[in-house]
Amino acid sequence: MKKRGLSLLLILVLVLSLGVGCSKPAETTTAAPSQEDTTAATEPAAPVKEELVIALSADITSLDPQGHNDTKSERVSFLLFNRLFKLNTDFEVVPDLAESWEQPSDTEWVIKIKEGVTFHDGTPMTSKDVKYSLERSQTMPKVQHVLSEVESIEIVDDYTVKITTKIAFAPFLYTLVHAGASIVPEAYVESGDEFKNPVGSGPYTFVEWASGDRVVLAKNENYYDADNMGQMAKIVFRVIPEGTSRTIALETGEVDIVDELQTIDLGKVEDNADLTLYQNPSTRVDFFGMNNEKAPYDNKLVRQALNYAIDKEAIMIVAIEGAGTEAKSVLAPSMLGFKASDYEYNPEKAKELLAQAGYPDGFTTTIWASGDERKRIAEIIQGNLMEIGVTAEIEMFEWGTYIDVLMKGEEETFVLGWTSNPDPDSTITPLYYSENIGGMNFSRINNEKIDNYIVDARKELDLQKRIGLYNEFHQYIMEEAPIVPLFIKNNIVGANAALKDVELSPQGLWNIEKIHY
Amino acid sequence: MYKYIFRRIAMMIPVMIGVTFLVFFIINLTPGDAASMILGDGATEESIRALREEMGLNDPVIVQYGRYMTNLLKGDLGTSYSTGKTVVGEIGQRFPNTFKLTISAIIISIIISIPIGIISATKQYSIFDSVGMIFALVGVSMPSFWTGLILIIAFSLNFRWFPSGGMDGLKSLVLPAFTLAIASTASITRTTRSSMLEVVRQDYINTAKAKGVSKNIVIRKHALKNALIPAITVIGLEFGILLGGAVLTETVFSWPGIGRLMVESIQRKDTPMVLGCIIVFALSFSIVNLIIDILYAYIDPRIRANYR
Repeated sequence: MKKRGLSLLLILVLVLSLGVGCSKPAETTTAAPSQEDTTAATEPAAPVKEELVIALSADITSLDPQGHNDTKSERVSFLLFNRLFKLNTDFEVVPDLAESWEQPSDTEWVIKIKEGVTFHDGTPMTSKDVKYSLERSQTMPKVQHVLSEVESIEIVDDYTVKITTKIAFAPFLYTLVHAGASIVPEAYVESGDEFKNPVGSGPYTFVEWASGDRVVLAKNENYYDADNMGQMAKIVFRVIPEGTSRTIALETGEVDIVDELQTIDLGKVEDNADLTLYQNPSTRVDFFGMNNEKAPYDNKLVRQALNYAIDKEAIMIVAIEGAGTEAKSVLAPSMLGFKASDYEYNPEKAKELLAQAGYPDGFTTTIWASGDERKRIAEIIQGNLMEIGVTAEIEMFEWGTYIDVLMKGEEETFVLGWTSNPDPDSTITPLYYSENIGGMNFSRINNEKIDNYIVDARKELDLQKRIGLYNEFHQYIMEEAPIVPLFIKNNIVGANAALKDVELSPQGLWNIEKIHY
Repeated sequence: MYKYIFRRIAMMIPVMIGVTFLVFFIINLTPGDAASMILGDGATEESIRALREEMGLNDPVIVQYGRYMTNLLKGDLGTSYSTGKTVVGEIGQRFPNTFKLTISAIIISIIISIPIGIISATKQYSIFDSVGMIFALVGVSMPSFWTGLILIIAFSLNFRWFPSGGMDGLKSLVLPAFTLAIASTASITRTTRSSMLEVVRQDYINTAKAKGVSKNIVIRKHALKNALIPAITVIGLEFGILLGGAVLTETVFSWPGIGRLMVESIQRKDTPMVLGCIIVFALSFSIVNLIIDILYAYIDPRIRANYR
């Protein structure tokens, strides 16, 4: 009798669990063309798909374009919302909602916005929404830094706004391309929905966000810009945290694009006729930093010596399977005013410089690092340093702790990477401006001339002059050599070979709305 | 019996207080500042200070803990630092997914392990026993992320029978559930076998046999019931562990469960979310244990007699 009771209980649990299993309707049954696709693996001509599935390595954090500051959420925000300006694949600022703009004075920007733009709920976008959005951006914790140089925003007429900056601020238009400067409808935001069902003006509308699993968007049939309409009926972002699983999902056809392909899977995708590999240099510079306040790194010659001592080519092969380019200065080559230094791998020259600096027999030091990739980088550097008589020990940290201890300045040397926003100012100010020692100026360089270059270039509104200033900055800072730039990692995107118009900018997958079969 | 259940539920309260207290303090000891975490890279010193003040992060830890517990009693676990969504809502979305996965895995393991354990014990040293135990040993030894990847390569990439990940109906449940089931099947099988072996050597089994009761009935009616108690303990433990510890399997299969949510939250130093997840783990573990204890009483009249 009791046994029967127990088995009844088990059956009940089983049935219940099946119920749970079925209770969530399979939202995207159309997403399973994998079987048909792959049986005909030799013919790349796939059936016409209406849905584009993109694998992301982590979930987005917010649907509110002003509620996040990460690249995953940005991908989604860029499809749901428009900004006044956007970047093209060459990192140039081009108008989006802006029709035209002029600068009556160094600190004033009068921007005329396009007429006839409607939000997804059908309401027209006006300068009221623009003012509201930009002011809201300044108060939202995650993005309040984006428009921090803006003094005031005034409505001139229904389709014109005047923005006044606190100082003459050259990177101003670049700040307007950030997701945090997206234009949101005032009425919607004030309705208190808290972006559960976001309403924007972008080429795609919101359908669903299943936390940790997927974000689903549908084409906006009423998009204002007929030339840049969304191509696929649906775009699904699927969260696949594990790198190998992402590649397999691409191979099986469950996803159409992998945004961040693991470097170890490069060959696999390249060798697969059904898949195409896209690569371009990112804006991320991985570097070997030295604490410029501590001996022997307070000596310029030592810092220069290390710039000759480290074999960047070997580091790239070991750390990222060679999927990158050697870094020649503190920024990526895609950045405005970039100028390469002429350091090259030359241990003999390094030894000479060390001897000149008063360390003919080398010295001992510690390299700090965090994470597997940086550990491998540190190990190569350790080997390189040994060749010039410097004995280095490696010390590993957990990531959260790492940034904390680096800010305290207890390090001797360290391995770190930095992904830049489009304007150079947003990278060189935190990393090399003297006031940010104790903040992100991890190498703790305190150099008046560097400070002056940073401030002057920020204020210089003449583009050519600004480029000139940055050229000089690059030359000077690499002479001072606060760090050893190591490499620029490639953006690596794997995609179904049948996909067309897959574009990459230095920030990775770009113009997703244009991609189609 | 009801009194016993009630008492057990009441005992969960100090457990929960202890868990939240420990976790709250440990998280506070870890480096990194919540306010700068929320504000991100571009934040100014000023705004970080203002937010710290606003969030009450400058108060002593014990005051912060008191505030947290007061809110907890109202069912408010706070809002996530990184997403700004409520912790309750987020966990409410994720926990059912983990539960679905775990319950399927446990059912699969029970269906496989109990019969194998029984047969292995009754036919000790037979070829079946040896093979069964080798499989159990292999199953216990394989790390779940590896098993998961092998299953994906075999059944998604090569045979294309199941999706390689995600949560899309029943089909997507099969591989992760089996991955989780493999490890627990192994330990449940081994426990069932050894406790069966112990029981079948007892005098009352010999008595039953001597009475002329058929072998089948001796095993099913006399032996199994007593042998099940350790097996149920292990099943309960495995279930509890899986509810919180399926992180690797959830990651390999991109399953949007609570284990992954917690690990991601730890990486983002999202304290309210981490605390919320741990409270849910502790709570579910306690509940599973309670159910197991009740099941003991159900199976063993001697235990039931103690509760009267």
